Amino acid sequence: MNSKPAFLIALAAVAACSDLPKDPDGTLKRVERERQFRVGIVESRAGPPAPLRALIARVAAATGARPAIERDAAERLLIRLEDGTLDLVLGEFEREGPWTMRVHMLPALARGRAGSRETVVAAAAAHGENRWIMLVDREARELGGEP
Amino acid sequence: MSGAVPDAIEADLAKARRLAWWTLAWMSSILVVMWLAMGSSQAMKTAFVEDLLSMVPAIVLLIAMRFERKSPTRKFAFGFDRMHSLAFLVSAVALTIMGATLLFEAVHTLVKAEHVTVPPVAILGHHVWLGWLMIAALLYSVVPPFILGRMKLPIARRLHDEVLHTDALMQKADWMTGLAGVAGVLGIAFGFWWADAVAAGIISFSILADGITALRISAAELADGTPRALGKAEVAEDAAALIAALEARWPGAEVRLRESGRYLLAQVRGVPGAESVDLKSLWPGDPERSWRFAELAFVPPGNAER
Repeated sequence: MNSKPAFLIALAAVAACSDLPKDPDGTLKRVERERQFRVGIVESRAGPPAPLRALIARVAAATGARPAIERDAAERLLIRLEDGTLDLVLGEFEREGPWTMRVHMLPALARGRAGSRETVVAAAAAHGENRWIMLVDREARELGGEP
Repeated sequence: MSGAVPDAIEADLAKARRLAWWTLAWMSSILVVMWLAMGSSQAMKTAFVEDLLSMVPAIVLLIAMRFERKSPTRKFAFGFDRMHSLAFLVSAVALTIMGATLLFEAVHTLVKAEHVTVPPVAILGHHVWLGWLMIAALLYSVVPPFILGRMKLPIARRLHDEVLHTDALMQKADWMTGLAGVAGVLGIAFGFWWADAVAAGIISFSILADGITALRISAAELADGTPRALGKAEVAEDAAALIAALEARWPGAEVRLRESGRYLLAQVRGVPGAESVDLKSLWPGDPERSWRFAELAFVPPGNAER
């Protein structure tokens, strides 16, 4: 039996799979095409924690794009993330807050407390953009992030 | 007919019992695999709950079969054959809930245009998209129900066992859900967020239809309706033939037939009772299935108004 065609088909299948998953709204392709990703940073007196700045730098290096950063309150930024006018929102969020269901929380880079509530320093992405989420997830884990 | 099981069906009952245990063992292994692969995916959590639900018919079948062998008691003078009818109702409800849940989830996802996130996971230092693991788990979840369901159907027909038949339908629902899940995850991989919900929605109609039919039959059985064909809402052919045979034997009498579990119980009304009747001689169908006719009662003239 000639195994060459089977091997080539398997190779083609693996190559095709390496391009998957795709983003329904094409976030990563757009970021790579426009060489820019839109980041919202939750306003705080102390400024963005160091791990978040490191994450932005890693995502920029991985995509070859530069971040377009804006700062605002968490609620407003997360609504824009859902609307698709931001690609990432970074800041300190409640671990079990209402937004954890509405957006996808990436691995936490640090943990803290706000009163009785547990908080996480993390990035959030819009649900379903699985390719984009994979990339940011990988970079967050490289920085020691934990799901 | 209670307390003793006809010799003619002993072997099939043993097979049905073995298949029910195999179902529980395989479905437990599927639950473990699904639990390991589900991550935070809502779709996989739904599939997990459905797999849990799909064990209900096998569990109630084993309980009903245990009761079927018990002798009547003072508190249960008619025996425990009807436990089977009760088990059938429970199985039918489980199947219907499964179809309804699947349909609800699918419509909910489509209406709200929910984009499903399938995140990556770290396995032995490798960053792997969870979707590939989900597909592997779902493919595994398809194989046992496909084989077990097909093995159960002929035995359910021979035993006229509605619970086993519903169990086989549940297995069909299981493997169909698994394949729909694979199609859905592949759809998500290609960026079609709606694929999972559309695939689940399409198969949910067939599962829901099977569940509703099973509910109608079990309701008819519990309401002493004329016995229905296996898996169908129409009157069973052997039941109709038996009614005709009894009417021919006792002309002018009203014949009522009902089902208790897998057995047929007849009432001949408006005629004096016969002293001795061989039930097998009255069975009009295949002699190998004459065990189905388990009881004949008479209601004498003057007492048969209701």
